[in-house]
Amino acid sequence: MGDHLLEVNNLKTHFRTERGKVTAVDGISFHVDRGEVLAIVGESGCGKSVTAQSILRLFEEKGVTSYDGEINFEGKNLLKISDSEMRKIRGNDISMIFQDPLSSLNPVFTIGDQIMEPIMLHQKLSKKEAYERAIEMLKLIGIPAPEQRVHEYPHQISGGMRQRVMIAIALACQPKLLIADEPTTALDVTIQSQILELIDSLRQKLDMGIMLITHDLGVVAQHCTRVAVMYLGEVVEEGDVESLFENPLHPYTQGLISSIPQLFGNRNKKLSIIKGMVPSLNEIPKGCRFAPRCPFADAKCMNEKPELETLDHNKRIKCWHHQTIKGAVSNAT
Amino acid sequence: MKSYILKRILSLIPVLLIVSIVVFMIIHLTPGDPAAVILGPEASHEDVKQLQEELGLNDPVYQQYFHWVEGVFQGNLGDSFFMDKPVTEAILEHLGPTISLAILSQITAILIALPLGIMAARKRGTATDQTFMGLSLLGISIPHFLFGLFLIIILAINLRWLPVAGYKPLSAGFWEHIKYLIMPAIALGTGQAALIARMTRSSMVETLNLNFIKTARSKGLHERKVIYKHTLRNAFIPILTVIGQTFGTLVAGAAVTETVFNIPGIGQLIINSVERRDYMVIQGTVLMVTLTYVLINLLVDLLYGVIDPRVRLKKES
Ligand SMILES: Nc1ncnc2c1ncn2[C@@H]1O[C@H](COP(=O)(O)OP(=O)(O)OP(=O)(O)O)[C@@H](O)[C@H]1O
Ligand SMILES: [Mg+2]
Repeated sequence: MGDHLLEVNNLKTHFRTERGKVTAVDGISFHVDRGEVLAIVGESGCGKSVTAQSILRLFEEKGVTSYDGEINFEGKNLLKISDSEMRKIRGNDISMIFQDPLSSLNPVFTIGDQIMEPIMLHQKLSKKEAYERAIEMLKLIGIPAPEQRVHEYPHQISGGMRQRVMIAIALACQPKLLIADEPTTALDVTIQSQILELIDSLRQKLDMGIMLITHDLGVVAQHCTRVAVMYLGEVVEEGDVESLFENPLHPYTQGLISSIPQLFGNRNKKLSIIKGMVPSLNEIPKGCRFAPRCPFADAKCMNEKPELETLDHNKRIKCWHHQTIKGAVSNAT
Repeated sequence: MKSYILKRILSLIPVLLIVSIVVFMIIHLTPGDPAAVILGPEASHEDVKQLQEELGLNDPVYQQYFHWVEGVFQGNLGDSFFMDKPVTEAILEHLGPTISLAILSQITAILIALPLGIMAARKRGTATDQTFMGLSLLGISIPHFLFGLFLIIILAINLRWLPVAGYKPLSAGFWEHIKYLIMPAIALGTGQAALIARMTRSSMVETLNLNFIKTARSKGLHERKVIYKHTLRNAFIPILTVIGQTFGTLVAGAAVTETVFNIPGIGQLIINSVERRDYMVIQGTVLMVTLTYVLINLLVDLLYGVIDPRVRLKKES
């Protein structure tokens, strides 16, 4: 402990909404080291994006959002530092790629302007030097004819190109941590893998830590070192990629893994999709949050909250019955 | 951009055609024979006949129309019988005060509206926001002549800071000129300000929720830059539309204010001409006001292209 690049402890993010206060992220802890890729997975609405954006405090609107816990980055608690200190970290030490590449670029400024902006801000380069950096970045991320592209507007280039530009913006100041929120979901498969390879090679080159949010367990298996599985604002299981895929302990993780489409073998085999729906943040179950949808749930699960237990081999799990459930998935298939 | 400008300008042709027909018909659609009205009830039958001949009222209507359009292109809008001078000259004499008033009140409106609208958007949902929006409703609902009268009572009569009414041209000196226009400009401008402020707020709120604003923040930009560079420019098209519209209505809406403050502008010219049934002047001023409106809209359209590359580059990409 203590020497991780990013260490999140018991983070909670609350929003005040018309229907009362909701806690979208409820006491999660995880860490990211230099040079590693932590995957955050979970169904839609489980709080992945809120977690990501909380790290940069992007929700801050007086009286609407509040945070609890600690986000330690290089010895500083990001939840305690001033706005101006936070601005120095954003886009410089920690960068973010957002979920929707098509609407994440400003339509009225050229691509060049948008890449140059953080360079001029953080590295105090002149306009001309920043322009050269921008061209370099475009080359680096594999955009052809960068001298022309810098003068174009987002609507003039394809979705895949826009996502590459977002990556160029995020990497322009060589951040120590990159938070990528589903960087490829809107794109088609070939571009998806190109972009992930690109991020991967830049990670090696810059020794960046990466927090990769995704729905796609295939991506996790290929590109990540560790995984944290989220459900309804909590981390329910965390561990190394191999052990998590080979030996998932949480019934929710097991459900996620068995719902990966099978590429080989019997295509007509029914996918076991987790039954039921994610409850809304206003009706959070009182015991284990997954209990109402869990095939193994009993009275204890319904009434008592499990804690996140630490097992050996960096494995953490939040489930009353993980010992008895162990291996259930392999028997079932 | 060039093709965009050309397209905008070409699209004006049908508009101008319709405008010209409607304005031309003013004379023919008003009840009574224009010649008889001009000469008054005591005129003899022969005199009326002769004037009809002079005005070309006996020609077929389409011929009269072409004749009139030809004149318009040469800057000839006919003569005013009451003022005994060409209509163009009468309009030019009254144009200066109205333009000064319109520009000054529009500047007042924008200077009030933009900061308030932006502030309300940034503090959306708070007491500040509600106060500003409440004030703007008040601004829209108070008739501006009434507001003008209040201003006269306070600033001119009680405090004696400004002249009660009247007008001095720019040639009398800048301050002399402005002094007479401050109160009418405020009276006219607040209503416009309210409209512009409401649009500014709603457009800014909408834009602030867009994803690229989060991108801008995540780069580490100062909130000021996020608001004034990234948000305002994107939010500006609807704001500009309202500015254009209010400016257009200003020219016409100034009539009452000009009367209250006794400013010899186009508004007064229209009111006097309607009272006197001075058809040629009515026709000329209506044409002028409509043309101004059309030109302002053209300008607004062209500015869209300057602000938003998606408008400007639509055809080329
Ligand atoms: N600004 C906000 N105000 C109130 N509630 C919010 C806000 N942002 C997110 N939420 C709620 O927080 C929960 C988690 O949302 P989040 O966007 O983090 O999900 P996600 O895991 O990223 O889902 P997806 O995979 O669809 O992107 C959702 O129930 C959402 O409605
Ligand atoms: Mg998300």
